[in-house]
Amino acid sequence: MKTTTEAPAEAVPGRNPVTSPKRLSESPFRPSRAAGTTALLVALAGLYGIFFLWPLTNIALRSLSADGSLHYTSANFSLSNYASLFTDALLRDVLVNTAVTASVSTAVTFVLAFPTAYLMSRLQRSLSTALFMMILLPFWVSILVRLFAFLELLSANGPVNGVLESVGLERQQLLFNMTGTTIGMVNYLLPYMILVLFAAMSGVDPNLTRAAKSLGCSSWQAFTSVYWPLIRGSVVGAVLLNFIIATGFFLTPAILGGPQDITISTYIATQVQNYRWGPASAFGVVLLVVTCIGFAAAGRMTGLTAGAGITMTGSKGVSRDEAMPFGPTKLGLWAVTILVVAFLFAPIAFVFPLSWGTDATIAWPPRGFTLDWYHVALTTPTWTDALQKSVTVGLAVAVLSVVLAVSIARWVRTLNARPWLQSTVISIVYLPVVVPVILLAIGTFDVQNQIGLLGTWWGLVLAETVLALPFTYLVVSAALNNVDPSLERAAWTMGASRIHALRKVVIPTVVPALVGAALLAFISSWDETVVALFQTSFDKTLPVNFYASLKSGSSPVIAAIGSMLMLLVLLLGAAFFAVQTARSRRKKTTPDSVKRPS
Amino acid sequence: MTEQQSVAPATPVAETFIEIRNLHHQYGGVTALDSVSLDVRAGEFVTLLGPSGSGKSSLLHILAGLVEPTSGTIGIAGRDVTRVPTQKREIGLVFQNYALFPHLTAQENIRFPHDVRKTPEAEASARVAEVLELVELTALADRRPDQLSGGQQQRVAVGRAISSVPKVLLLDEPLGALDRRLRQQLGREIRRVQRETGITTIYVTHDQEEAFTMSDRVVVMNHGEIRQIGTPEDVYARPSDSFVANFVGEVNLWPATVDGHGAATVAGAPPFGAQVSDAARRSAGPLVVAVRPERVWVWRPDGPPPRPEIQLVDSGVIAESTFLGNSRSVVVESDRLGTTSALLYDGEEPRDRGERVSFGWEPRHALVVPE
Repeated sequence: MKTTTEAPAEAVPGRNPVTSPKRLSESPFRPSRAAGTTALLVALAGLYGIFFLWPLTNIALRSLSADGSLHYTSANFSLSNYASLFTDALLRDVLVNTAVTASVSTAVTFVLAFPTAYLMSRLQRSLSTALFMMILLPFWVSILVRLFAFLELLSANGPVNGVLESVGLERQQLLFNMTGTTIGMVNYLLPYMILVLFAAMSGVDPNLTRAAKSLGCSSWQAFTSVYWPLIRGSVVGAVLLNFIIATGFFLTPAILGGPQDITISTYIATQVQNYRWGPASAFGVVLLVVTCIGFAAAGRMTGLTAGAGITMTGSKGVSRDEAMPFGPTKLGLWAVTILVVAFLFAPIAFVFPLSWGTDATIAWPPRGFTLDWYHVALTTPTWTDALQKSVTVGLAVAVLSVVLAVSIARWVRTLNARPWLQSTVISIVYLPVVVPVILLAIGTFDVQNQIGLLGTWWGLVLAETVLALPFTYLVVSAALNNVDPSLERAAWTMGASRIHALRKVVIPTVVPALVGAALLAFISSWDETVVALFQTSFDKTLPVNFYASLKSGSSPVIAAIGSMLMLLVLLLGAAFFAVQTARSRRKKTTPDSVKRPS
Repeated sequence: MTEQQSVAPATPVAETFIEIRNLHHQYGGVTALDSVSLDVRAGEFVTLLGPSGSGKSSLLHILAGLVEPTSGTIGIAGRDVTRVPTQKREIGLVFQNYALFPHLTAQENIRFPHDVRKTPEAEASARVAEVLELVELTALADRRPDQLSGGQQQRVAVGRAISSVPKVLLLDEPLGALDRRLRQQLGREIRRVQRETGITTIYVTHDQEEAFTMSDRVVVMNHGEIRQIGTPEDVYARPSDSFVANFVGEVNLWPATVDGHGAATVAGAPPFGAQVSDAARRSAGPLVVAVRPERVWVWRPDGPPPRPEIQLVDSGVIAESTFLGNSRSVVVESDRLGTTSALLYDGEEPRDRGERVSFGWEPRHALVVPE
């Protein structure tokens, strides 16, 4: 070891010209990563520009043109489309019908969700976690399969009407009207509502209510003066969130609703499929504005802003001795909870028996047992081609999303000095979840038509990537942010280059999360129907084919396909959870499992 | 700072191994380091001691190359490393939370720097075995960090940092997360490893006990400035100002004035003999007199002081009396000095609450310093 022989007086700054303070900003500390960052920015700008911003801009521009045509100049702008929403009787009906359906669905959902969430928050941990998993499970099953089940469950000769008749009530018209739509929507919304309410309720310390009671409050006073103020924001936010999701619904009213109660989404879809953009695009803009405001307000009230999310770790149960005492209240809560779980599971459980009956049309109860329909499904070219397309698109979306999510997450972390830019980038990544999917569907349809990507494999992959990226990013960024930054620095101090540290230290610790994120992206693309519906005319994906078959009449083949879809998603979901559990056992963190509204 | 310049000439220039000159660091408008200069000799164990926000960790991270200074230079072994990236500085850094790689075993963690540098297999294995032996982890070599206790993880962290024989070992509050007994034990071990390897070491802590028991020299920092550099004895017995006096142990402090003969006066009490520091002599600002509680003597008001050197300063009543095990802490309330803490050992009387006492100290134990 050599020691310096220079006197301290000579060691003042300036003795070495290279060390003048001006050069500090471009010091070799941080090797230039400008090229990589530029490439990422170009890719992101292209992806979100073409598949997100341009589509929405097109809708807005078309809404300003009297005949719904597309002009990029302001010469022919008119507000006649917007005026017609309120003057035209048919359009006004659509507006009112949408609002009424959404309100009723939200109200029913809330009435069912509140007691369930409350019970879950007061149960001991193991039981509460079990219920949590049961609520989440139907979440993973494709909405189309659930809608198919409801079509059969609620049909004129279906089991629900059978039960109604046997208890002495008349058979009811439960399908193709607002009743059908509401049942389907409540089924879809319940997990969302329960998760948000549960997150809020389990965050309330049970000792607070006890403290209130020890200070002389009755149970009711304790509820109104202590408990309610603590959860009020989340409750209002949850209701608002559900209302917004319900307003943007497309698949449920399209399949379970009737021709006389059209909602905004179904109206937009039918109009655009016939290239009539005028009032449809105006509706789209109104829907977008309402949705954005609603989400912002709901996010503020629930505290579930981008990146926070509902985590499994939020499922903190109470210990055994703190659990709710048994009594009429608990009995009532259990009754509602069991009803909710049954309602969530009914459609899922119902699909399997439908797929093994020997009759060529679906009948309840199924007669005989055969696996022929599975054989038919797996040998018919329309289904196998669709399967192939769904798998290839899903895999491409999974890879693209994970690569992009890792790059964005790493880049966003370098922006700490510019919080404004940082939050803007994160917001843009999350925005596609907020925008009603029907708008992205018609918008990308329009844009891809213009640039000749419509119907191409790449066109679909990129559009689906925009939709899958928010979920992928959520998981990936949570995992990467959980990696202690000092791990990387420790590697640097030992001589590891940035790339080496990333490869040998950071990535190995987040592999399970990356696998989970890829699965999530795959499932997102695999299940996605609405955008794909507008993207594909001949070579359909599996859900689009499923949707088309539902519209043209049911058959046991659909039931067989539905069963297989469900099995696959359940297997992937189980794999995802297994991976997450393995990870949380090591790192005590779990990302969440939220799915996009359709 | 005047203090450190008065110390610097005492450091033989030829032995300087780490040379820090006029380091400034600012981020977000906050000055983390203000004109910091420090020389560390080869093989020396130097501790940066200060409260949180004093700049000690910033200084360590700048030395490690993880943070860029706003201005100033750093030399290690005669080479200017101010612009040298972390990877090329040949340092070992032990992080506060250890930053062990969770997917690697203890042995693989310690081997990591050799893998990075592509050390030949035989050489790397021999060195890893040697380090495992040194930090007494040979039996646990194949455990992953989550299978090790806090103390064992700490040893892996130290082993990993010294594994590739760095020129400088930097430790950032490495014992903060451990309980007291383990802290003392591992502190001794770090010192043993440092002595055996002879690596020049800079250690950051806010715990004065750690600083005193481990260091050759202590650097007391506050608000991004070095307040004093010296041996533990120096810093404790001859603090440069009231901040240092207060930070490195219990102390009684009173605002004081000094006359030309070195007698101090506190708030209208009769003057008493005191030691006036050079800094206090030069200072134009307010002064304080500092007396450590263990230097305060108490006795019955009707009797003489226990030793002739002890001067009577004031009389009062014992307001609090707390048993500490090896000693007893009493607080005396008096009209002129307010409260005075004293530390009494076996047999010293009076010691009970409510008793009237006279108290005082030897002139050499009352130190006048700038506030």
